[in-house]
Amino acid sequence: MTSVSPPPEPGANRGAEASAPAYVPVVLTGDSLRVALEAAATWLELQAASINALNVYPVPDGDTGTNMSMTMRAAAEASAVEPSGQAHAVARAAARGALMGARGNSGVILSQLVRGFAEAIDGQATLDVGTIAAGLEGAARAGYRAVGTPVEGTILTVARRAGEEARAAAAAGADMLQFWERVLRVTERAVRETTDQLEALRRAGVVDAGGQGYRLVIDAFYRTARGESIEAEEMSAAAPVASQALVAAQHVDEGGLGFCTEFLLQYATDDQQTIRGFMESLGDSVIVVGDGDLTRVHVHTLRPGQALDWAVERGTVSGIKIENMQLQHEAGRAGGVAGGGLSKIGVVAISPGPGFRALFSSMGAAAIVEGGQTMNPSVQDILTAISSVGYQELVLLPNNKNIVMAARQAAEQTPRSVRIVPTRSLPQGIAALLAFNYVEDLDTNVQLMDEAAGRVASIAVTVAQKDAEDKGQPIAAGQALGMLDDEIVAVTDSLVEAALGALASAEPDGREIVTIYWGQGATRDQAQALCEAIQAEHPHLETEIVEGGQPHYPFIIAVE
Amino acid sequence: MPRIAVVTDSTADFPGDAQERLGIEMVPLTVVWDRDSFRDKLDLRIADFYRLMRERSTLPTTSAPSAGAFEETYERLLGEADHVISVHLAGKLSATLDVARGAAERVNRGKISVVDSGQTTMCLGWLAMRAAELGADGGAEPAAIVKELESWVPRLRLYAVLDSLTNLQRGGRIGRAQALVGSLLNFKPLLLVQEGQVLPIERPRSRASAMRRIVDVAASQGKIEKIGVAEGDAPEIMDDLVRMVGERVPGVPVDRGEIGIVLGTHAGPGVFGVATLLAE
Repeated sequence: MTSVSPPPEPGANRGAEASAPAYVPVVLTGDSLRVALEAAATWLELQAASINALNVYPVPDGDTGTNMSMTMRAAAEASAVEPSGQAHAVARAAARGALMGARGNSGVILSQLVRGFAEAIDGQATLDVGTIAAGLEGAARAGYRAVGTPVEGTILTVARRAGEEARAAAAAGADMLQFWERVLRVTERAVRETTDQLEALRRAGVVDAGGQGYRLVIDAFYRTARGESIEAEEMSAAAPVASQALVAAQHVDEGGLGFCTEFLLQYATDDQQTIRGFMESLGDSVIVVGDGDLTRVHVHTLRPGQALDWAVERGTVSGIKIENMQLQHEAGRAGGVAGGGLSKIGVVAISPGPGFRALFSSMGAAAIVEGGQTMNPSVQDILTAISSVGYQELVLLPNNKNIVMAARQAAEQTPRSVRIVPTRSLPQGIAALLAFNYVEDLDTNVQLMDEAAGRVASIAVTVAQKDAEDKGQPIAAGQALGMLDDEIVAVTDSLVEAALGALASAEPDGREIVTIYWGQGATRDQAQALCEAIQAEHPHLETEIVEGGQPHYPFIIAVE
Repeated sequence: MPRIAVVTDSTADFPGDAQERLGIEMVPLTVVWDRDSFRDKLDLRIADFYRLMRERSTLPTTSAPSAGAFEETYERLLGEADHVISVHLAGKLSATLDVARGAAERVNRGKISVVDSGQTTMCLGWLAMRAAELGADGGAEPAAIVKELESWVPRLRLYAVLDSLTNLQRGGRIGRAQALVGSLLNFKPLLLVQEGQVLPIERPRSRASAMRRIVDVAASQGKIEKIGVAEGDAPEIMDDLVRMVGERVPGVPVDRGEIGIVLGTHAGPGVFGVATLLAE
């Protein structure tokens, strides 16, 4: 049986930093609420993978952490753009954002906690501990209301106990810091105790995933009150959770499968109670929540079509998401038996333009930083991307020779294991990502990706911006330049000829595959013409045409 | 000593005439296509199957053998043998194993042992061959044979390179290789089948690099006891592949096989694979 590290006690792993900060805020302002929400979103993102691993209830769909982090991110983003500085307005914006961005069962419940908090503090420009206590109690009540059949030993229990302790702490005259310390301590205890409250958790030896997520939210508020940031502590505080927990729990919960069905219903003709009643006749895990004319519906049912048919008769349906939980269940179970499954290594790529962004993303890059030839990303941009993904081991692909340095700096500034494969071009980056091996470790992958990048010749075709000279050869503005690995090897009057000229210098006889990425300044027809010309000159080469959308270079060509 | 009969299904592939030589019984799965139904390895030659795949706009589906086919086979074999060892395509990938188990229950549960190979093609063929060799001339008790086969299962690896993921995805056997779906660039997915799991390994871009990588990856997992290669609609690469394997893993004979139309339905045309049995 897999065991799970208990959530750390407040201050337990923070050593000397546990001493009280010099300044203790008296109230939470709208701005500090924004900071806390941002911290909560970051904290959940950092821990998403380990929370996913905990998910055993109500069905092992394995994405509680991801869903909660995306929901909290939506709340933080909405609160960030709220013009008012008043706490209640910021909270209301967060609640709306959470509802719109809510994903999955756990995300919807979290959105209701945020909403309950916002409603309970309505009208308050700043929040003292008494108001915050009312907010936390309101959050718990809204959570219980949202769920058709509340179950103890879940995020609901954790939220309720947090609210109760908040009320007691406020009544005892705690200052802001003491208040959050007490709430966090009880929240942590409540999370630990979920293990014994639910059979599925007890048998798997894990704590409830949603409750663990809520603990991180409370922890984010505690740290904000202390003036600490999440970033600085991500390493020490990121208590690793055994990723086998999900696997160990798989056999526990075999029932209640079907389709996880979610949608938004606007301008519904029926009230939420009627909607909930109908959804409960179709399945279980029913959640029907909303504010005003917007309702979010979540149901696990064998008949998702009936749920949608019924809903479209009664309002405007959008945001439909249907997932086969049986398949998810089997996928989760499948991963466990092989003792590993998919890689624990994430890849972050730096890429310009929507085309290459989509390419890297489609090939499994965990995050993509916007940047390239003329817009090198900052170290902070790269760090932000690294922090946004749930991987502790990462490979960074700079994909431009001018970005390698920034990538190295970013790698030094994060406590995660980040390795650089110093790709100097987009073709090298693509080749490196495709060479990624799903079962090998970080060292081997860096080696495989490095070798793959080294096997690619990168051709870039561009148009001379001004008259110039290269190695004694004059170049006129407007001429097409074919560059092979950053050296000008062809100067002609057409883009296609420049590309063919550069290809001729790339030892085409020993190559196998040519990929043409056409970008700004070229058309699909030109790419097709180039492709046909390559096939005519080099019939042994396989060719592929892809829309790269890159600026400055009408053609980028990978020769492998 | 008991007389042992060995049964497998048509997704098992054998080097040369091993199946006939060892008297291994084969129960066919079926490919259902439009209004046609073909028994694997009996009704349609593999080359014709791939020709049809290029001609027809629809894709075939596969189905497990009927319970009746297993019952008939078991009853007939138990007329001569004392015990039947029935080893099959991974239970995680097909209903065949469940059908066989059900049939064994009804016919004579005490005299039929059904074994989940967690595998298919050459790896499954090796298990059937091992069972037949151990059982030949009353050499081993059925329980000892089953134990031996089960000890092989975790050591069997099947690496496969597909031309695309289309057929695998459509047939629903894609497993964790689902992670590879959606790429905007083409590649030749390199997958691993191990104990019933389908796992993604790498994404070589060309067939030539896929051949190098499959040999490299398959050969680097430990000491190799058996190795074999198999293909579907890709006979032209077999000599090269056998040579590459031989160079990388000297001293171990390389078995060769050709997959049938049921695996071909799920893998798609142009598939090739390397199977290994790792030493204990």
